[in-house]
Amino acid sequence: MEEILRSKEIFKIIPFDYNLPVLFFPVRHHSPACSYHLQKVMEEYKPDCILVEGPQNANKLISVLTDEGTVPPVAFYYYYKDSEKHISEDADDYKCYYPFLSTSPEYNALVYARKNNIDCAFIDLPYGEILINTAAGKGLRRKSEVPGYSDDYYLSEGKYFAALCEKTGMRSFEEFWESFFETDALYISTEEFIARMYTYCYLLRENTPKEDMLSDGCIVRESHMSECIKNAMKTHSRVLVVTGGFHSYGLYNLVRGSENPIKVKLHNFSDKVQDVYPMCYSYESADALNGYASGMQNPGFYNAVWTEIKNKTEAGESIDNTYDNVIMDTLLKCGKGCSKSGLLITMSDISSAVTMYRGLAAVRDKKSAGLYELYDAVQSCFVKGELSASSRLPLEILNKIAAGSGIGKLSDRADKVPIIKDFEDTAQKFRLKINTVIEQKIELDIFSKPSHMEISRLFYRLSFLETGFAKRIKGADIINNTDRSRIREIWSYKRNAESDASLIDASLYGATIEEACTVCAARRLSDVQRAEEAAKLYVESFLMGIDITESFAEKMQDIIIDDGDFFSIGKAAYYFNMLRSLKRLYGVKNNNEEFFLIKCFDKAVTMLASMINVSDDYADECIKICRLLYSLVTNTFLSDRYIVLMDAFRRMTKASDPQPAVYGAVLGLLYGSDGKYKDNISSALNGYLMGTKEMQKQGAVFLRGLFSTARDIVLVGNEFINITDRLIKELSMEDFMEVLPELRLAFSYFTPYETDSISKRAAELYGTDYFEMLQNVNIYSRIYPMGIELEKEICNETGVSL
Amino acid sequence: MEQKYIKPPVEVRYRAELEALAAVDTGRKPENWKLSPKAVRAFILGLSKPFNYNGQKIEIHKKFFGNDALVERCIITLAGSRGLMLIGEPGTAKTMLSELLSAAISGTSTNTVQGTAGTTEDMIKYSWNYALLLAKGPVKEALVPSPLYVGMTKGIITRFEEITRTPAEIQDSLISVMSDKVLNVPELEEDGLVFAKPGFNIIGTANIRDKGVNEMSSALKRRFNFETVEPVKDVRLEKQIILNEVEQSAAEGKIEMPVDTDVAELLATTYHELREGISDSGMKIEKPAAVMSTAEAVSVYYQTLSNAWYYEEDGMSIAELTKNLNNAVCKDTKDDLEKLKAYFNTVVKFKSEKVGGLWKKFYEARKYLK
Repeated sequence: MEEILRSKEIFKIIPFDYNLPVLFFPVRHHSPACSYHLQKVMEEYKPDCILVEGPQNANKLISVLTDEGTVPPVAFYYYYKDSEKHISEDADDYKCYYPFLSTSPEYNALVYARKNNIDCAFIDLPYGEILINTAAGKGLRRKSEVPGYSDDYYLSEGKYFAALCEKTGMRSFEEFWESFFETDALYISTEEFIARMYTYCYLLRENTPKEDMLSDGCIVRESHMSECIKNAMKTHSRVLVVTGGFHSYGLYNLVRGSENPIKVKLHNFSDKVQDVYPMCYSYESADALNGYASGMQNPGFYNAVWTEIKNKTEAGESIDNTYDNVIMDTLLKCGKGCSKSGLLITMSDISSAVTMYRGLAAVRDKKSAGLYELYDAVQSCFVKGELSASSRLPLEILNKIAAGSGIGKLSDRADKVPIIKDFEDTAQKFRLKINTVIEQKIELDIFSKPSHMEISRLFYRLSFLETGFAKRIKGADIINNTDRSRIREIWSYKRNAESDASLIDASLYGATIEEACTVCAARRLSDVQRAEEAAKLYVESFLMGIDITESFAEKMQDIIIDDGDFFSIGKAAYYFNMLRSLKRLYGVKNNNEEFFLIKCFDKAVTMLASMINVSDDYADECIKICRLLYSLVTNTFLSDRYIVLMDAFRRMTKASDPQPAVYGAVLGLLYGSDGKYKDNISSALNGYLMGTKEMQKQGAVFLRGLFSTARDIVLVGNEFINITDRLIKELSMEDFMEVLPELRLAFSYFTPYETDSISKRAAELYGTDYFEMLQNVNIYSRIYPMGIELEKEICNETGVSL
Repeated sequence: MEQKYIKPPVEVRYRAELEALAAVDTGRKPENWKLSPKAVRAFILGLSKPFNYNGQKIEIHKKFFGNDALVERCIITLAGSRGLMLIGEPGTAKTMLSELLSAAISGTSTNTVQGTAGTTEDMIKYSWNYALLLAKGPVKEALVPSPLYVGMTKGIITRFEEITRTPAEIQDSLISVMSDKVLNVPELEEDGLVFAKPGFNIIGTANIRDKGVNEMSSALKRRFNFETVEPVKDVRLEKQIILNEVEQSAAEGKIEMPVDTDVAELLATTYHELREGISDSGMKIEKPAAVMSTAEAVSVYYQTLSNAWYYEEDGMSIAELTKNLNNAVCKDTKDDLEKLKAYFNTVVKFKSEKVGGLWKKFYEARKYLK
């Protein structure tokens, strides 16, 4: 691979000469090596026009981006509302970010242009046009938690890349990139660096099917960019084109006319349909590891590399030891971070790590160690014991340092923060009074007025973002299961400086309230470990009316799978089942809760066997969950799991020393599925009856469990009345008083009519007339003392003692 | 005629490769190393192209799969002053890796202490030939050197297997040896200081299932670099390892039955999915507590193959494979049976409907899960 990349044969295919009227500089987003060589090219070539890949509807923001008051990381936030259905019948809204770091070659090119008064512009299609020319699920229309304007995926995806990693023994594309294009780049000439980039990108392009490039909008975009370049060449003599390396060859062919461009007719969209805003960004957000996927990972580390390169270049020093210095610095910071967190890192560990990363660079034939050798050194020398979640601290600390922690700053000339604008637009749409200091109240008829449901969702979202803007005074609380019957909600709300500040804080998660909530929910979920908590978070998402992301769904699954607490799983199942029944009412269309409910069900069933021995304190909760599981297989889409659940119940009944209430409840559920379990129930009850006094007491507990799931067993025939009667008769008065609460609870499951029917048969058992019994039930207080007196008299007369 | 062994040591098994690599090795070598770090790497991770040596084409095959960076870190650790501790689940080839490293670096993989609950300090350091001790007193001639003693005096690697099975106070006898690179034999008085020669180092292995049995002291931990050896992540690779190992075991056991690649794939997939807790179609499942290593998968396959060879007329059956899988997985807790059943009821059921073939038979054999 190295031999191929070192060859300059590529210049015969894409020429690179400072005398040419146009130069194509290939970049990767956020690459310090690209920025370093770009700087050299700009100084050598002295362009009179710099064109940068990026949607051209952001040209108006170049002055803000390159303003001295703007400090990266910052980003452009693009949006497009497809209300005219140019993309699809769904008329969706689209958005994406284009982040700029101080390491970004595109940013440095624009800053250079401003400082040197050179014409500059973005040359890609406006954002909406890119989307219109892209097939569903491709390019910028790929599903992503926070979509970024970047086509870096060209560099790192596909079979070509996988084979390359296997061949070069690299663990990931990032390691390959660093090895061939970052650390090495500081030791080679600019021509050689560009030759490498051209070669790598040319080979990638040759291995990318044209249909793919057509469907993801690549060819259309290149056609438009080439037209912009040709126009610029009419008025300028040295045009420098800074684009992703993948486009260099395509643009070169289009500009020289060896390929015909696709004509694109641009729409005339108003600012309401399509616009772009600048916003502050953070290193954390810019880290491709966080799902923003727009450029290199670990921007904090590479920012340190870029700072070192700039400082040394300005001081006229050699940049050979750049990586060694930054790695040493990062290693010491990591060691310090570990020590602060209570993990002592000694000088011996540090020196061992230095030996390790330098030794690894030598074994791997690298001129200098890079971030991946540093990771190896920290793992080997700082992690003591098995590499696990608890021992990963040094690697976690290194991750944080490598990701970076700074937040950018926008020049005062920048427009309003998008999330505030979204808030104001939404408030205006619903006619909420936000320009007053007086607290407002609003009653929402959420189930009959769609706009009220929308307002309720907005309030839930703003509460979720902890803005303090809105507070629910009355309304159904489905999380705590209170006031469920309420069909209206009453909210109070007030806008103030604090609520605006909280919203601006939340803008790091997204440019709209909905997007911020989506990302924030996914992040909060990552800190959750119990299924019950995760399900509550899901309920909040439900109330906010936000679609959960793929990563949210993935994480939710992981939490359910990993949660070993049966009760937490049961509670989560309860929430998902409840949402399933509420979703029509709330106008929710997706089926996520059904999917999670299945996961909870499956998990709960695998844990059922051990629940038969649950402690008395948890028996009622356990019975509740068993009943829920049973109702799911009998009444819902989970009926295909009926046999699996019954199997699990059967296994429970075979366990030794069962908790009597759970045992009774499970037998009751089995009786519900198959009448022959009546025999098992009577023999179990007889077992309690024939046992010790302690066992007899447990019989009452068993009955409570049994009646909670199969009370009809008493109503069919007299067998259970007889057994229950025997049980009560066998107990002494003292024991009877002890189990009386359990018996009362057991019979509380019956309706008044059923209690009546049982009483009739109990009366028959003793040859008493039921109505007579009822009539004689009350003894008047005046008659009672008379009766006592009468009884005494009789005893005295007959000589019989009471 | 060369002696036949059940399991020849690595340096014997790969003698030709080691000799050829040593002959062509031009890299810098740490003192007393037989090969340079780059050549050690090549020996363990293989070379993409064969080379000529003594008129023969020598191919260096990859011997350790799954994590090249880990091997590189191990080599650099051994060239430094710290020991190397390989930890991981049982059956993840820790011992094999330590043998390969020792054979490539020192030319021998047999200088080994086997850690057990009964390991004593004299097994680690030195003991005495009591007949000579009584006859001549405490002289060097009467001293019986331990593998550690041998490693220090010859400047070679000492392997310490299952170090955490050894009582903590016995493990700690390594601390002074690893810090000062000196072993004191007080009985020999002024001749009693044994200084380690360059090239000496220790490779320890520890099984994480034994964690907490004899936890290593932090003082000893500081003297080691730790490397966690994880199971193979790639199903294709795992299948290949199963095929290779079962074929080798079958040849050694004179079982003349072909090894079925489809069965190996089914087993590799099952082990992989149960270990990772997710199916290849993204279905999440619960991981059993039992060890789900490739070595276990090999054992399940070989057991099924042996059974078919000795008892069955119609070759290997999926039912028998399922029974062996059941026995291998459901050893520790009763929950594992539930988890295995759940795997069959979800993933295997899904595959039996979508893929059919062996997966269908596998699903039908779920009745043997007990």
